[in-house]
Amino acid sequence: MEIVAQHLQDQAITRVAAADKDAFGRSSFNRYYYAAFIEARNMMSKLRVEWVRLPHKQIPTVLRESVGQDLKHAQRKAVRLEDKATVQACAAAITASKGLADLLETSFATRVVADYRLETMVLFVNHDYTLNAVPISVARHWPSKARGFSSSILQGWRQAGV
Amino acid sequence: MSDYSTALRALFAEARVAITGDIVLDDESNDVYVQTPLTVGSDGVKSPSRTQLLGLKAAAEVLGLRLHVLLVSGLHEEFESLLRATLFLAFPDVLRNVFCSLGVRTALVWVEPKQDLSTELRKAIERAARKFCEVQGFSFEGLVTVGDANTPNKLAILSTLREIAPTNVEKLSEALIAKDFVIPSQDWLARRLDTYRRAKNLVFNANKTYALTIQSFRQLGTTKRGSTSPDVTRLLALWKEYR
Repeated sequence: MEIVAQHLQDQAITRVAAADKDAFGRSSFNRYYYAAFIEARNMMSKLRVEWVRLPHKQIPTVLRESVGQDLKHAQRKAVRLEDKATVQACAAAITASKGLADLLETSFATRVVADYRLETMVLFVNHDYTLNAVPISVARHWPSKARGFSSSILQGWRQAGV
Repeated sequence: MSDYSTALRALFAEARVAITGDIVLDDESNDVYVQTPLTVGSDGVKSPSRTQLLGLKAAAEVLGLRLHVLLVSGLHEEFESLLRATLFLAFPDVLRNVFCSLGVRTALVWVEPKQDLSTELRKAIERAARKFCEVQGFSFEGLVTVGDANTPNKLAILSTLREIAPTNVEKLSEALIAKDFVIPSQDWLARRLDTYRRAKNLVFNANKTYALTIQSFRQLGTTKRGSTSPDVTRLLALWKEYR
């Protein structure tokens, strides 16, 4: 999915016709969102099997509430055991849960604009472009960031033994 | 401009919170997404504040909207792209991506390496990331490597032992591997267990089995929250053993 998004991004930059640039540009935002979402959903299904069915919009809430609380609870146990490595792993996982929740919300909102708000045009400035004030130079890191945050959450979660 | 958008813009203007881009309403629900620039003053005070955001959320709820404020930090984006460029330049062909989470004055750095990092290389990257953060006036909270080998720490080892104790190194090793941990060797695990024995977290019995001490039980605590309760997992483990 990420390579598809990169291809669409290249097309948006190299095409000449304005309508083509807009179409490829907005689709690239959509695909970067999906690539990030898939990373997050894979990770969530490893935390709890039933979380594979969570609707897109509920994942940020679950990350901020259930996942964050369980990690904090485990972190307190690790403090009592003087298990510094787990305290750190939980701290990184807690930060990652918030980071991933924010990322999913921002990218989801951008995806709604890309797919349904056709009157909001993609704006091109040299080799960069933005949709609803979100630059593609930020969006293109969504999948990789989602992968990084997910990996931290999973590592913290395993050590926590929740 | 639609009604919800006009009403929300008025709320934000009243609270003196700026809006970037268009307001996005998800057609399938009443979720509404608003981007707002986040600034941190030299005194470390965030704007908009948490109180302002909670007030806006409550006011939006009166209008029947579930408000999601998306904070956009120009500082974060700039910091991150500079850090990325710095580390890419210092360690060419080693890293796939670099990004960070910024607190008010703290930074946690993530790196995604192209292949497994040697200990020396990891330390060198950590030093470079620390230096970058400190020069920018942020205290460095640590480096997280995406896809690190996942060996169990003390909490995971003791919690697993608790479920199946008394048990030997072989069985404990199997139980940890079943939880997706990597055990470098049984000798590695035996040495870990010996460290915990000296810290009075467990006892080594004459028949070469290990069990937790009362001190560990107190430190691990318990909950009655269904399947995550250690008492429940212990019972399930016993049932598997003796059924």
